[in-house]
Amino acid sequence: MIFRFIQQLFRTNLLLGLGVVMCGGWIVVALLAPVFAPYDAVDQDLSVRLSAPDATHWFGTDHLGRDIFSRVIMGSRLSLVAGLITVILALSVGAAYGAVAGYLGKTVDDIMMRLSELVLAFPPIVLAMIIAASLGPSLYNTLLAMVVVLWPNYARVMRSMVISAKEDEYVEAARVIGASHIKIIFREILPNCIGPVLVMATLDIGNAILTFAGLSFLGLGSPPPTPEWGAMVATGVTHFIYWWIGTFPGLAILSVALAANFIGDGLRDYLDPHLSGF
Amino acid sequence: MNKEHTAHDELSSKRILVSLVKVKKYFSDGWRSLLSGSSKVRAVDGVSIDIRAGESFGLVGESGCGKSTLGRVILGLHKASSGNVLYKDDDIYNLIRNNRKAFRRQIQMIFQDPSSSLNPRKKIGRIMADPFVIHHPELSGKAVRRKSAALLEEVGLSAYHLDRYPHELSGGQKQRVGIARAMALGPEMIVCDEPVSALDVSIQAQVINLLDRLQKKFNLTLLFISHDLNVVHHLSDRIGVMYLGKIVEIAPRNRLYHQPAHPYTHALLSAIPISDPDEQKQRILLKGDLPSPSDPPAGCRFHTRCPEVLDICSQLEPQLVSVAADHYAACHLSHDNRGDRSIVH
Repeated sequence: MIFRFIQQLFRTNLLLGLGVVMCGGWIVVALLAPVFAPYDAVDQDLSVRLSAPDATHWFGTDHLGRDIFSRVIMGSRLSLVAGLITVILALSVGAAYGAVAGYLGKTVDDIMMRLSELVLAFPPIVLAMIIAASLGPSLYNTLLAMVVVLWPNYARVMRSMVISAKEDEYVEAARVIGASHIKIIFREILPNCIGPVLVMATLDIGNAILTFAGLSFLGLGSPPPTPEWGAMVATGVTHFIYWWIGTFPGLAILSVALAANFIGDGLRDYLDPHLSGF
Repeated sequence: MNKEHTAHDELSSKRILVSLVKVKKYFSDGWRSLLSGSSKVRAVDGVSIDIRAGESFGLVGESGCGKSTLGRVILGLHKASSGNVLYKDDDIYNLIRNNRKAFRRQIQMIFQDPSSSLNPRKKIGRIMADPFVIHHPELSGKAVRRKSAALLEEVGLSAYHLDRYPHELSGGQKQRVGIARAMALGPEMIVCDEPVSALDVSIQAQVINLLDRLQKKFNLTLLFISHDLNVVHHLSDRIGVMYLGKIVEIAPRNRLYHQPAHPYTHALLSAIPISDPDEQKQRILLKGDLPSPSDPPAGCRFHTRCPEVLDICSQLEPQLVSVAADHYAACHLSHDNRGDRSIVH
């Protein structure tokens, strides 16, 4: 049945199909990571350090002789969570907040938007560091810090979309019919505004993975031996001539970001009745 | 003698459905207006009218005169800045506060722009289902669909339109959907805000005929807002003429078209194009533009453009007074006539 669904998806909306398959593939890999990984991701074998990709180590090894293929597989667990979960959370919080602010307007809007701009006043990575450090370094606190840094962007975009959409007559029509404010915001206005926000979110997924890597690098988030794509790319930068160290985790980030972009574009088309024949 | 037009007129013995008492609606920018120095826009500035059950009341005026705002005030979409809006003698804001849904079942609205009044993301079936889902949640999906299909057929569409998106329909079809949606809850009154002005002329006639038929069939009360006097003439029993937020004249249709008492009405009527090229017609051209509703002229608001302006017009604001049976005008010219009532009536 899933196969049928995907087949249908490919036929009607190639981008969405590709995105779903790629993203789904990564999620499966992350869930079953220990099964796929041929070596232990943190096991060091200095005798084979910095060896180029070959039959035993498909993606080569890093400066401590760890198998990069296994590390990319195991790293998907953290990086996917960091990328997808933070963006999904930031999107939900920001979009709902912005929609309410834009819909209510006037003083409520002023107060709500100034509050959100409070967050934007700080450099994102610094603010994330402050939050993560003050809450104590842990994976959850780092993710929370990233959500806090990300959501105002969504709130702003959403608010401006809602302000223009709420003037449309179908919103008034819904009020005349007797729909509640909640229903008007979430059933009438949001579906017409979510497109650009979704696209923005998919662009942010790659960013989020890299930000998380940056925080990990600073000692917040995942501690060093834990495999994590961003940190692996950072290692690759210091060992630049051994191209495989940074390239493969980089390609992994690229593929997730690309898949997310496909899904975003595909979803936007899918949600737009003018384009969709789904 | 000079008291404003009220419900207690011998001719208005028909039941009053909606009564507006000195309704004002000002728009302001909130605290921002303190910074920009802009003053309030007086969209509706003291309007009193009664709309009788079963009648079709036409409201005409230039764009920007406040007629659409007035329609939205009646629906409670805009809250009146002052004055009372009564529906069957109850204040509509009380009605909305106490039982919003019951009130919504009574008065519905048809919108000007059929393409923007239907949510582009929803199929017609879902748009039509909304009123039932909100007001009759006990109905099954099948029953809702059956009712929606019946409504579409009532307005000249078919059941298969339920599976279409709004962008797959023509303007006239979309407006029919809008009408069907307004009819869904069996309202007593429908506010039509320029329902045909966005349509082609040939479609306009169809939609007007549809409204006319529905009104007779279901004994609807219509408030028909338009800037097109031909359209209003076709549909209305009584007509109110608005200028800069005020009602300047109210009269039964034929009376208004043949014996207008207000110079503004005169000018409007003279601007109606006629189809006979041989017929000579004197057009009254109004000078200047509509003054800003945020800074209306003193005295009679029309005095800056009035072809028959008197000295008193710029000083004293004329009241809406009876000039004949069921005919009211706010003009000093008709006041003078009133001095000797026997001349007029």
